[in-house]
Amino acid sequence: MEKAIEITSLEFEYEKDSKVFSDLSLSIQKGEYVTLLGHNGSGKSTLARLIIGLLEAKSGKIEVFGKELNEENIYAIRSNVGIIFQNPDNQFIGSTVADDIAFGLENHQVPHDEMDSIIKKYASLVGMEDFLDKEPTSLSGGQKQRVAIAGVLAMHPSLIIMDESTSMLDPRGKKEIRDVVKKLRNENKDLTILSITHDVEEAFDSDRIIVISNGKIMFNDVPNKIFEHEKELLNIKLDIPFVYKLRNGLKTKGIDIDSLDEKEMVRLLCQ
Amino acid sequence: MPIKFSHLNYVYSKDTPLETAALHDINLDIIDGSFVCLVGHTGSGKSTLIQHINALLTPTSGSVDVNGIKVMNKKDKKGFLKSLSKEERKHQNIKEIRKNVGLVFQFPEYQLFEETVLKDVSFGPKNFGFSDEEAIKKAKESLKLVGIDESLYDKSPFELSGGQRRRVAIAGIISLNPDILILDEPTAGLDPQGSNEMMELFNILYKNGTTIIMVTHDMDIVIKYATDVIVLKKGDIILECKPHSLFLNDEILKELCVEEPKPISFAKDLIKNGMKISLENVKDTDTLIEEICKARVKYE
Repeated sequence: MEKAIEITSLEFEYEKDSKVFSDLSLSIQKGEYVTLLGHNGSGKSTLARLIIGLLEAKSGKIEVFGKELNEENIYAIRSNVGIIFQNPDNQFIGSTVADDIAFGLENHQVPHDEMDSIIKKYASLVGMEDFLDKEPTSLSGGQKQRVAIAGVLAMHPSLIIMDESTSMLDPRGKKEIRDVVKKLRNENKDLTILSITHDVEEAFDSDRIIVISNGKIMFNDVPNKIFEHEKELLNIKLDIPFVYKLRNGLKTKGIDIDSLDEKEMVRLLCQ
Repeated sequence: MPIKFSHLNYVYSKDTPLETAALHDINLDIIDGSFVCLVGHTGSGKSTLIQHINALLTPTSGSVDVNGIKVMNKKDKKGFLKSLSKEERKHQNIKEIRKNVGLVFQFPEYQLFEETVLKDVSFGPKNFGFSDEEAIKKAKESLKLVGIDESLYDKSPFELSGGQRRRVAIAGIISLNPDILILDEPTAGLDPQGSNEMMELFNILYKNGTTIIMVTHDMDIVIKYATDVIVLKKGDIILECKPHSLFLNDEILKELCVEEPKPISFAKDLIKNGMKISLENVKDTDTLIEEICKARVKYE
């Protein structure tokens, strides 16, 4: 199977002798939805910046869709990768929603008469088709992030990196983005998504979770397995979903509930 | 320092084409020592409301009374001052409010500016007339309270991590020992443990008598810490209640587009299925487990 990302023995430091990564290796398959989970300062955003070449590794190899990240390949790789950052206000550059989505298209010299239909297509994919003439000030954070996603999709990336793109949003905004991501996955099975977050409920949506702490991979597994490690996750400042916390807590009080389904748990408890 | 909003209206960009009414006829009492959470969608007027409490905004009409000092627009305040005796007028200085009401904006870490952490935190006390020595002492106390290690005092704030920067920014505000602390989404963007630690800090201040007014979208915070909840919608207060009543009000929950905290919805399901637990005692997963244990003991 084709690999979307392949990282081998990556080493990186911002300052001399304080390594963020000393020997990191991981791989992500094409079409996979992977969450990189870690606390503030764990190195997860640094990793995203390394993958798109905004930062340069000290040693090691990063391959994106089989191409090694180097000076020669960097633009080819970037044209295939879209990234959504954390702050909705820092990535809205157009004066209207339509202008913002058009920005990348203009940079790639897409003919003007084709642009309109492309803009409409992706605006409606993220549910923003009624806002094309709106200015950024009249949009909520969630709406701005959806526009950022539309702008990225219009460039047909094979890989989308979401760098804490919901952490500054209110509950409605978070839900909007989660729904859009689910929709994208359904429409295009080949699209690879790498989501960086510390929101465990959001991480639950993905195919696989990679837990990072102090620049090292601590766990790399499907969500169900990951959250069995309550102690370790709490130790590295993360949380576990409610059902796990409840089941484990009841167990220490001598109440064994062998289920992680809320309804079933209620039934067993009320017997 | 009780706070009283009376018939407060606020209009942004009045008499321009961009005129927007942000708050309508707000009447609200906040009593000393309460922990109030303000909830509502983006654009509901939460931030506009809190900025009136330390007079960063003045009402288009109406007033906010903070411990007897009235925040009003210039014209109204002039008329009000005329009605007072000379002695009473002395107690109407807005600067007193600024000293006693600390306001922490959203993402306060973007407002750090000094060369070192210690200088940044002592800026506030110095500005309010404390000597260098006293200001440094206050800064050190509040840095200790927010859990910033001494080894970081002489570092540039920009060398710190995001979570540390936020603590430093908050230390800058609490170094003035405000009686009222207003926080606009203080935990946004923090990891779960960072968020818990931050909330425990505010809880300590609350237990020491500080009135806490917090804008938040996090219902887990509301249920665990708030004494009172105020729900805003398009510039109106649509509900004032105790945290638990908020989660019994399905209509409001739907309006707010929030899910109730998981321990609450689980407890409700248990009650529906016949378990005898009291919802008011459920504040988080731990208290839910305690309640379940109590109910099970009663059964047996």
